[in-house]
Amino acid sequence: MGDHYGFSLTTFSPSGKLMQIEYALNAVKNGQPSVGLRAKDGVVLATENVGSVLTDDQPKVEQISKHIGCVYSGMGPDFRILVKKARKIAMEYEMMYGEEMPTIQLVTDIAAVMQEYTQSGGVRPFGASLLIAGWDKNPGRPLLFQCDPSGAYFAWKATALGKNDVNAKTFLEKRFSEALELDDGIHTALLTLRESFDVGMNENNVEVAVCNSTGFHRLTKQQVHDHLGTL
Amino acid sequence: MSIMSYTGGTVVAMAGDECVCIASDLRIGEQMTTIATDQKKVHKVTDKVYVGLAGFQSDARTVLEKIMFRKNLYELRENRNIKPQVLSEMISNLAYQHRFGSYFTEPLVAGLDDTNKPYICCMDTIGCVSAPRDFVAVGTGQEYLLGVCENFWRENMKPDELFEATAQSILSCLERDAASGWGAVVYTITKDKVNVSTIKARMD
Amino acid sequence: MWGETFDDFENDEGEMAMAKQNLIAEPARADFTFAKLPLGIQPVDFMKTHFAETAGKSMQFRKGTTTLAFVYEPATPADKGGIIVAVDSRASSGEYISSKSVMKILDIGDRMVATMAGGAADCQFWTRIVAKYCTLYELREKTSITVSAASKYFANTLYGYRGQGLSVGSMVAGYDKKGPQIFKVDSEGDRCQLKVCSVGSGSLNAYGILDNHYKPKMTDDEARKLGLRAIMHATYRDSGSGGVCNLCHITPTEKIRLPPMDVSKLWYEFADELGRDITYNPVE
Repeated sequence: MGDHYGFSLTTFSPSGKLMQIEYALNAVKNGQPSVGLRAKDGVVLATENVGSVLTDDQPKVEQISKHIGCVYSGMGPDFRILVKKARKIAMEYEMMYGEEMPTIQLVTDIAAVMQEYTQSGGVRPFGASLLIAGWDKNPGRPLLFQCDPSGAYFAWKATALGKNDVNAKTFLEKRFSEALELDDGIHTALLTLRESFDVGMNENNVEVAVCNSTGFHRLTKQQVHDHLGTL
Repeated sequence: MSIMSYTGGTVVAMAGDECVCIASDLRIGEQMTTIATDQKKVHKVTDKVYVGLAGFQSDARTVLEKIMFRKNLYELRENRNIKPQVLSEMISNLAYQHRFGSYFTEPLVAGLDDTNKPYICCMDTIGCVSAPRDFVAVGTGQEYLLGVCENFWRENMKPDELFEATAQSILSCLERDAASGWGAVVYTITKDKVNVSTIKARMD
Repeated sequence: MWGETFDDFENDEGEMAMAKQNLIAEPARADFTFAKLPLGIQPVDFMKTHFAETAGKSMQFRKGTTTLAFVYEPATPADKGGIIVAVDSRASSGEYISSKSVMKILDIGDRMVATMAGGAADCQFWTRIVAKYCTLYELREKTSITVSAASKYFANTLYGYRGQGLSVGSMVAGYDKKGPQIFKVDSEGDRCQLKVCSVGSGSLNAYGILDNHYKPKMTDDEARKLGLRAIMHATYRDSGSGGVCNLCHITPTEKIRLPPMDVSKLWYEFADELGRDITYNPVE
């Protein structure tokens, strides 16, 4: 982006704040909530996905490489640009070194992209935060990261984004346990999501994905339905 | 005479049981004239990964610097040691980037990965990797070496047997390759140490 | 009708001779002829196509050599003086060492030798032809041939094939009524007399040693050692030369062939003598 001629719209206010970034974070805060949770043997991503009854399904959870996937809260179009870039970065890494990109490497690269959009001319920051779930083969372990429009990233055991994220995080603090297995993790994530739901949760307005040693998988509507039945 | 044999030189690597050996001769020449007899063609990349560069040595040195540049950047970025498999893929890409004007050097990688499994591979000048489980050779003595290695290599050799096999193989090769010789150096890489030994060879 | 005439008889004899020639006579050994290429194909082009570096290794001629010879006078009455001829023993095609034990000192009679550099077959064959000429000369003239005459015959023969791709660089050395003599002869037709001479890919290296240490008066031991040393250093620097050093000492009365010496062993011996450090410590 450095070759753009122009001035960055993201400029410091006299108090030292970058208002554009604050606004971008507000866009995230207004988005549909997402929850991420790290269980013992995998990571769970869950999100609300309410569309009009007239629209066809538009997924919010996307796979990036075999063992990495992500979900967002905020603006869908911005998210899809990031997914496109993330997939390209992951593939280039795989091509270069002959093995899958470690999750942290992808997160730092995506964070760098997001940071660049806060400092370049002619662009605006992304209006979406990401939850990136990954499984690292060496040593085998689940990983969960959050990536913000500012370019900041955090490693979480469990967290939530979007509407009512503070309440969701408080809920997670009470319910989270290191000993959680993947199925319990899905259960907890759905419970957390339910906290901020206005309407009844069903397989058409909730998306769930898991990431474990076998890779990143989105749950089918039937599987989501079954999990919701146990709540 | 081809540019690939302008300076001469040979590198060989053999895989054993949780150990690898990599050896090179010490000659640098300008066509038929021997210029130096103390130039090894095997270089340390990490504690357990070594790279050998045969062919035109001016290019080999440049390629080595590029390899170290990329490898250092990788290790800083990922905060871990590079595995031989990753290094070879990296070198292969580096070589292929120069597909239409390649460096006149054939790289060879030998080392142990993080589970101490031996890994050896060799490439052509534009990065076509071949990673057999037994032995690899590059340089002016390649053809002779592959022949003798076939005789010396055994399944699951221990470090001392592997050293003997590698040393004997390269010495046999030097008997027939005029562009290599004047001494040799052998690195035996095991999981807790690397043994370096120089061996006397014919001086003609 | 007229009965047999003398003429008829003569004719019969002619037919007999013809029949003998065609049916029972052995092929003459004396007039060796070369097979001719089909009309229109130039020998040089043919050689380039099939035997140059672009061809396979087995199709390349063996090359790469260091040979040297020098004359010296005895330093003490105990020494014999004469000529030292020293050569390496490597035959190589490109960087491939096709033989480690070639004898590059070829005999011409029992007083002379010719050294071999360039095409091995060319040298061996034409030396044989020269040796044959010398034997015939000596039988015919009842006197021994001079080195000058033998080498001149050699040079003239090669000149006859100039431009046809022969590759010969030979030194004809020996003792005759004029004393010890060395003639350098090559396939370009050149012939010149020299006191100190070296031929081959390693010749410059050998000259380096010879020019530094050669003296017109030497002891036999000194002279032999100089020959060895020059060959050894040439094999060290020149990858086309190597193997063993074959040395021949031609004295006024006899031709002494010394046992072959491994040049690699010689190198370690000389390195020892010079106090040179041969251990190598690789630096990371």
